[in-house]
Amino acid sequence: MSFRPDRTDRIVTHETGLAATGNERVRTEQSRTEPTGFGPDGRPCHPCGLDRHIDHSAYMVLDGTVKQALELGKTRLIATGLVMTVAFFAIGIRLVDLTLLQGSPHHKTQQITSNAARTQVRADIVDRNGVVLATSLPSASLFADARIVPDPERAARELHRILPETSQSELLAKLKSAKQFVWLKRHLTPRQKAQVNSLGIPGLNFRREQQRFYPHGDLTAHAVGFTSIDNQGLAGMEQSFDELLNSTSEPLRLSLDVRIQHIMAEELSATISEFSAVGAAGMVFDVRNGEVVAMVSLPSYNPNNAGIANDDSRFNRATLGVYEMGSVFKLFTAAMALDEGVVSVNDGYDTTDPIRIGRFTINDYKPKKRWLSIPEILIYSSNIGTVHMAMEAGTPMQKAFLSNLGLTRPASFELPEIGRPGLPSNWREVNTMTIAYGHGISVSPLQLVRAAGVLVNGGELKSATLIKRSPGETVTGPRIISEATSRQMRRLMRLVVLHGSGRKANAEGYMVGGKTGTADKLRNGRYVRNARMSSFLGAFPMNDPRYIVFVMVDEPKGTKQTHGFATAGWVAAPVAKRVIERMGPLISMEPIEDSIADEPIEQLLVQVQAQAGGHSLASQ
Amino acid sequence: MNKIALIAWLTACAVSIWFAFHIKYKVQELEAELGIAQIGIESDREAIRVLEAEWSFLNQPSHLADLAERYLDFKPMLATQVVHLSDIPPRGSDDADSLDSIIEELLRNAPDNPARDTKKSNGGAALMRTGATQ
Repeated sequence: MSFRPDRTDRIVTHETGLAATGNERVRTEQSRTEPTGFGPDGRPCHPCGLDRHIDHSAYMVLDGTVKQALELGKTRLIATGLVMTVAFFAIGIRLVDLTLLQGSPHHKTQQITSNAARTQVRADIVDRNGVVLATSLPSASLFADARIVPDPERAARELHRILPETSQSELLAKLKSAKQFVWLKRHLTPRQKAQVNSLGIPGLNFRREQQRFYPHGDLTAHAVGFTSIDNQGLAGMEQSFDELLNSTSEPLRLSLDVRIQHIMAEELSATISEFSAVGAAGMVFDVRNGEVVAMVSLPSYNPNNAGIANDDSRFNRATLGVYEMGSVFKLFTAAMALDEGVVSVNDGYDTTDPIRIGRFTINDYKPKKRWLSIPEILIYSSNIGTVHMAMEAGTPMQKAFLSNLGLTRPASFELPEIGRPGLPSNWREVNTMTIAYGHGISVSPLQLVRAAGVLVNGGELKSATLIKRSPGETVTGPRIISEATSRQMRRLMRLVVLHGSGRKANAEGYMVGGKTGTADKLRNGRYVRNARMSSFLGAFPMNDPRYIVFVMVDEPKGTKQTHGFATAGWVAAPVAKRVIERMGPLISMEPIEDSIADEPIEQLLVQVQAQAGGHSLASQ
Repeated sequence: MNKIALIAWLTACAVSIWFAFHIKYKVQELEAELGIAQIGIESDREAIRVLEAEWSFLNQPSHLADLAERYLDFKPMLATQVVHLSDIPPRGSDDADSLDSIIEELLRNAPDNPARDTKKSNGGAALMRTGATQ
């Protein structure tokens, strides 16, 4: 590199003068060259001449050069300034954005989540009209830091006085345990809390907790269930929807109607005391959408104190209990025979002779000893006629039909307490015979009402639910019987109530149809004569069925009023009647002029009986 | 000129500092208020839950039935007490007799009047409220 301080170099110096480093470089280069007095190429140089030369030429150039340099500097200043302004503006906008626009939502969400965590309570359970069945109430629980309780003996004595249900020795043991945290008593009443507070014992503290409360007590106990002391569902809907209840704040809306539930429970408990029965179950089932509107199992228990309830009262007879339903099953046999075309409604069977198979004899409860038409078989509840019907259909058909109705497998339902139906291990001819009239197969009332819904709702099996369906929701299910068969079954059921064993269920104005069932109870594999299940399966109104009402009374004993009878016609049918009469106005059902609506149905019986006249002559 | 600018800048600076602190304290104040309001909302919610539980408890059907029995003269309605609108003859028609017979039938179908103890029960007032006469 050669260094020659000439004009061009000077200009460079001026130009770079603005930049500190450039200036520095030029100066050091100058100071390096000056003492030697030589150019880099070794030639001696003349400082004065050089100066003069420069001065001279510089004056000529400077004016233009300085101006140029200043211009340049100005431009750079403006450029830098602009960059800075833009940067500051950007920061300013971002600040406004963060503080006024974006910042607050971020802040808010954080607060909401922390709030939610603090106030998360187990959701309520309500009935179909929004009546609270289970809710969480704030409560205080007492715990101790046993290390700092000064006088455990005195503290235990005082606490026992306030909390008499705790044992003093237990309290003392806990207070002496020297543990940092020990529960003394969960869920204190506000009064107890105030009293404990006024003791002023150091080391005793309260923790806020949620306590489950069931305002309706034992009325809906089996459906709603109960929770543990730590709010963990242990039975009923509390158990099946445990996670959902803990994660949402939306109440869980059941299909139950607490008013109809009350009517059913009241009528059943009146019947239990009247007939000294050991228990009862009742259901009201919406045949259009499968909602369970009432589900009662007696005896019941108080879910607010479920710990002391015995096993019998905790047992849900409506879904977990399976029973031989007796003559109620004749409806299914008739529906099968009619739907499969085995018989027509005008056909019938001779019921004069009992049926003997092996060591069994199948007889009628009230033998008519003549030819009976299909409607009459149901009206008089003839075992013999029903068995003939089932035998003509055959075992495979019966098996398939009952399986289609969902009677051979546990019902799919929201409750965890679901009974497994009792089926014959080997479905032989004798089983077909007994199952035809409801013995040798045990099903839960829940399965029964669901299957019975098929008979009256037009033939579709709709899944049962304890959760309210949204209004207007149409529920469809697999078709089991034709609409024509369903129509015939409605007429037959109505005839049973008009003329048969179900007469006492005839709630005027609601066109009730149904079938009674009285089954002897099995004990150690033997039927016991005096222990019965009396049941009534009804539907109303029969011209366009809306509800199934099922009533079952466990081991009723006859009374003077019933002339010693404890059969379903005397025990269960009146309950169904009273339930229907009382729930009719509640569900705003318009009463029907039965006498007019029943005319075509009566016509059917007259027509059938006219034919029967010929048959009975023939059989004699 | 410069002095005025300086004073203006200093004033602006002071104002903005004052404003910043003002905002800060205001925010703190509001946050405290918010906290109090949230605690209030929380305790109100709890109170509502307790009251709803109590309301549901008081509305137990058995309790209501008991109250109705004690204070009202009402009985459960029967289907036979309901008449279809089409059964009622139009106003001014000659068919007045049929209306009388309908009313007569309704009265006949009505359940027996329960034994009435007017001092104890408040039945009269209840009937007046509904506009019905005995």
